[in-house]
Amino acid sequence: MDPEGYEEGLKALLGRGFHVHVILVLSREELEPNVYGDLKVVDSESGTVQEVTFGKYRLKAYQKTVNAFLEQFKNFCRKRAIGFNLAPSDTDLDQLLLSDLRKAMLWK
Amino acid sequence: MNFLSPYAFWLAVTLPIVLVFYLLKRRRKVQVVASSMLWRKFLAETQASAPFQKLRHHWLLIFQLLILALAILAMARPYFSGNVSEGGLLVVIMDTSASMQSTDVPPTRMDAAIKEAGDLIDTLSDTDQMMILAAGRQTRVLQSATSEKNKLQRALKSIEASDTSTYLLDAFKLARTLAEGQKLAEIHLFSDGAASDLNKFEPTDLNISYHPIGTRSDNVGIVSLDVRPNPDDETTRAIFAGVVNYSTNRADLIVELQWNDQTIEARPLELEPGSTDSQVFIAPQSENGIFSLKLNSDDDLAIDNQASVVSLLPKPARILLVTRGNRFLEKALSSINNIELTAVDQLTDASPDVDLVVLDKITPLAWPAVNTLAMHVTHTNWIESANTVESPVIVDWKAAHPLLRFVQLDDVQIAETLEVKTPNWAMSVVESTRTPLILAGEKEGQRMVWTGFDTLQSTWPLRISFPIFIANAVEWLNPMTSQASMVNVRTGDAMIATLEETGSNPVMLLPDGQKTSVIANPGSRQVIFADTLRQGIYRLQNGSTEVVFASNLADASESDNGPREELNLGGYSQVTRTGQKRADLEIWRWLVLAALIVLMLEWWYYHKRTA
Repeated sequence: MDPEGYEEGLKALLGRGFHVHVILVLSREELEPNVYGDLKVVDSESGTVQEVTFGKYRLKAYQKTVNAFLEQFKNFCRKRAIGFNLAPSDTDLDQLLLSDLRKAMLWK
Repeated sequence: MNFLSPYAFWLAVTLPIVLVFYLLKRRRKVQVVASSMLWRKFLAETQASAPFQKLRHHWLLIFQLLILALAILAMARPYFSGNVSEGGLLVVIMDTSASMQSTDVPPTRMDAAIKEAGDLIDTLSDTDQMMILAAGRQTRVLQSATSEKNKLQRALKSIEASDTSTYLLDAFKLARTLAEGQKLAEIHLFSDGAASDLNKFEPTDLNISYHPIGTRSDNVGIVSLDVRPNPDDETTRAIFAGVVNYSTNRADLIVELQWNDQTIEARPLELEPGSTDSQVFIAPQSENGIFSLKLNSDDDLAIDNQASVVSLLPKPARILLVTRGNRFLEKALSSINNIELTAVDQLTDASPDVDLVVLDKITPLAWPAVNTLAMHVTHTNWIESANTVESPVIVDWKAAHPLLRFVQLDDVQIAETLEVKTPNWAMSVVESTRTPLILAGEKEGQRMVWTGFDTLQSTWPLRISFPIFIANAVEWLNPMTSQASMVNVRTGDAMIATLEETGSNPVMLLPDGQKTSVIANPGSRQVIFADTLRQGIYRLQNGSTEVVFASNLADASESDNGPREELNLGGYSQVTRTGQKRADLEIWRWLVLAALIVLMLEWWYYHKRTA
């Protein structure tokens, strides 16, 4: 994901007349981290390094951050008639393609 | 600022340990994620609410180091000099007498007393002060007044029970002096109460607490031992011993007599509870030596199961009589047993080869350097007189003095006597209204008996008391007699010896086999050795000569080692058992220690969890 944010990219696609549907794939570790201590978090896409001290006592704060991010993302999409699906990386692919995306009217 | 417990700063070694934990903690674990965007958002949100963000990573460390440093500082007990309400003074008297060696409270009563006094130290508040006195033969101040508990505990642990009798009177007198002028003063006595001298102490308004030590009386002991020539046979000696059973059970034991460490007689002895038995042994003696008596009793107090006595062979007293003729005196002297008498009319040699000199109205050309009975004679160094007193009347005499044993002077009239003042070296044993008539004393190891009147100018030679007095004087002046009484002493009493050789360094061989040098006064042949707290045989070695001393407890009040529940002080006061006093006991040290432990555990747990 672009470190600058998703907003500009999605707006550009809409401006060109595309019908956009967002499927946000997040790993389970991103949603509910289970590694604690003094961490050196390495971004697999950009290679940037972020030092984090993380413990169970900060899990709720992290999840609050994630939920706020997802809510903000959904609102952004809803306002622009962009479809939105959260797909944790361990989601069953059949379930996603044949059920969830069909429900979202992406295809019939 | 000063510190009451500066040793607590040793705990500062834990500060680097915290740092080590911190450094270990900073090893970060690499975690690869699909996108670090969510982590950045998370950090941005949490950091936004955290002040001192620059310190964020070190805050925990600084905080914990601060707690640790404060805890260590607290344990060092810092204080400033200032004015606070006056605390109390506790004077602790520790009885170190022989009975405190009793083992009814294991390991010994002394150890139990030290432990109990240690508990009292723990109850001291910060403003209280305590001092510790050890009541032995002499009272020693082991620790002057302080509130430093470490010093007090150290002083307490240095105490050992001696082999001496109990001498609590001096300790109480000293404690009273120290307690005077203090608003809140307490005297705490840790003892088994086996003290006989406390009836002379009037406690007035002192606050005395008695902590009795000991649980029972289970002891059989030798309370007296003496050796005398056997009147029936001059080649043998009679040894008199007193043995007492102070336990509540019958005692069956063996009494063993040794001569120079060789057993010469053993006899069985049965003693009912509380009974005393006098044993008399007859033993041959051909040379100077030591008789020892041993009881094979397995009781609580071992020290009184043995006693020794040095026995010197009687030798004839060699007497030099300097006179122009005195039939009464010559007859009185010659009637004494075991003497060699020589009569001359002038003395020219200052060191005649005799045991004692009798001067009868003759001032010698050279004053004798041996023990002397001087009758109606003056000498610049000893006694001076310018006047005479006519018809002095005898008004008082010291009947308890060995010179006046069995001597009555009621019917003695004197025509004239020299008027003198009692010199420093002497005491007056017979007195008239105006002047002393007979003086006795000792100067630089030399004994002297002085009579101020001419016996022929009195009715005394016609009285029975005269030959008795002369016999007493010869016995008292005989160096062998004084030596025999001086070589057998009570534990704690000084040993006095006159050296035959000068110039060499005398050494005392102690009962435990150790040697210690004895310092003789320059120019004097007399040495005094006072470190006799242990029972046993002491040998003073000087060149080729040796003087043997025996030091014995032989004290019935120590052998009677049952703990006393109450002490009688003075004529009317009693002090009974005291429990531990109520006090505010400090526990902050334990709390601080617990905080330190929790702190270390927290670091350990955190490190384990995040590893």
